[in-house]
Amino acid sequence: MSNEIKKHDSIYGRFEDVLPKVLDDIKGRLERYNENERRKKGEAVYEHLICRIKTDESMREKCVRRGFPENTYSAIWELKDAVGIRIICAFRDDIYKIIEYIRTFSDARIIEEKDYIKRAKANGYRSYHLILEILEPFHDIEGNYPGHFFAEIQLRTIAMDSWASLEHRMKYKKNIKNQELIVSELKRCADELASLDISMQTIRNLINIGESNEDTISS
Amino acid sequence: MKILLAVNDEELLRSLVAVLLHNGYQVDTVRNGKAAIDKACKNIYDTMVIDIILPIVDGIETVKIIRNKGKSTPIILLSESSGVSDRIMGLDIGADDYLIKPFSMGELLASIRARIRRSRVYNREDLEFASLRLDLSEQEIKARNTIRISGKECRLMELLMRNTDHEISTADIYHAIWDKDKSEYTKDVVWVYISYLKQKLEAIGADAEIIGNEGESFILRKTRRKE
Repeated sequence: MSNEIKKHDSIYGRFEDVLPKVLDDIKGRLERYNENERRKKGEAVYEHLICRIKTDESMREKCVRRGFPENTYSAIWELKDAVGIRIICAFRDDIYKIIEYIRTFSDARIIEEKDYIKRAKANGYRSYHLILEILEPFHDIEGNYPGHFFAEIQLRTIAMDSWASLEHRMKYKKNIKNQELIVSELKRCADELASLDISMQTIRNLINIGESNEDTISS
Repeated sequence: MKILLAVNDEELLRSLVAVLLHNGYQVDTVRNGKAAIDKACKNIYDTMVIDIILPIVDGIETVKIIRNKGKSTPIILLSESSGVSDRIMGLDIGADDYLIKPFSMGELLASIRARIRRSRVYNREDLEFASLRLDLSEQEIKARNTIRISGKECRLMELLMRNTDHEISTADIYHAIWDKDKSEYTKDVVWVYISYLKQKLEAIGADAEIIGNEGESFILRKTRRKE
């Protein structure tokens, strides 16, 4: 009985069961792509991915914060990150490779993108954010079939991800001493990690050039 | 350590070369001011020793032109005991020290050591080229983004930014950055570090790029960006 009440309480309303299917569809495509690349080239394009449907509580909080009424329409139509996927890559170039793959979807389009890698946030945060609009075999809130659904996809390297999660942990310790110093030191760490990411990418490129030269010589 | 020696006096030149080589310096020699300017602009030296008495372009004028071309390499002038006004002018237009002939070789060597030591400390201001900024004390490059770079990357970036008017060969870069450490790396290391910086300049959205291919010469150039 209590479950029943909870279900009807969800801000996602009748879409509560649909959103996980949207998530699974996108996730499945990415996983198959990764598997194919691994088989073809012996190297995966991403290390791992994590997915979530934004919790009822944080979606309600976001509606309020953004000035939308706390209802289903706001949660799945106005705000477009109820479905969230984060892709963690080993190398920087892999991020852009995956974005190009996503662009090939014939039933989806990227409606918004923010490249915080080429243009890092002031605090040093780096990541690529995009909003995908995708057609799914369900009615959407406007009654369209196939329905239009949205997902936020974030892509980053392992280094960017570890910085973001460490920074996130520290940010919530209130009233720390030397706040300004800590913030600038965290940014310094982000800038150092970014440099390492590029060094690793460069080394991989140099190895790849070396290998392809060898192939040419031996063939 | 590489020294440019601009001296016309045959006998003095010969003894200076012998002493400098004996003390482990590499030496380039020229006999007139014009050649000194050419060499100073094309190569990278740790110190330049210039005699005030030089044909074609005299020593004072030579220092002036080298400084006007933005070269901050330490310069030691050699002068006659009578040339007080020359010495004052020489120092005023950018020479770092002078020695009065005849001087002891020990004194010249000490002066060279002091200049080299000092130049490492005081050339610490930020360098700028187009939208690119190199912060030497923080070892950071900045344009749209900022990133930290390693010590060797920083020295390579500094070398490129101080020599934007001419190409620098792989051998000169290797000599300027790795040779001094008696490192076990070969010249291949230059291309690896050039590659790091090429990618890093792109990553920070700088409107400058390093031109040049593996094993060849390199120069920093302004780029036009599509974005």
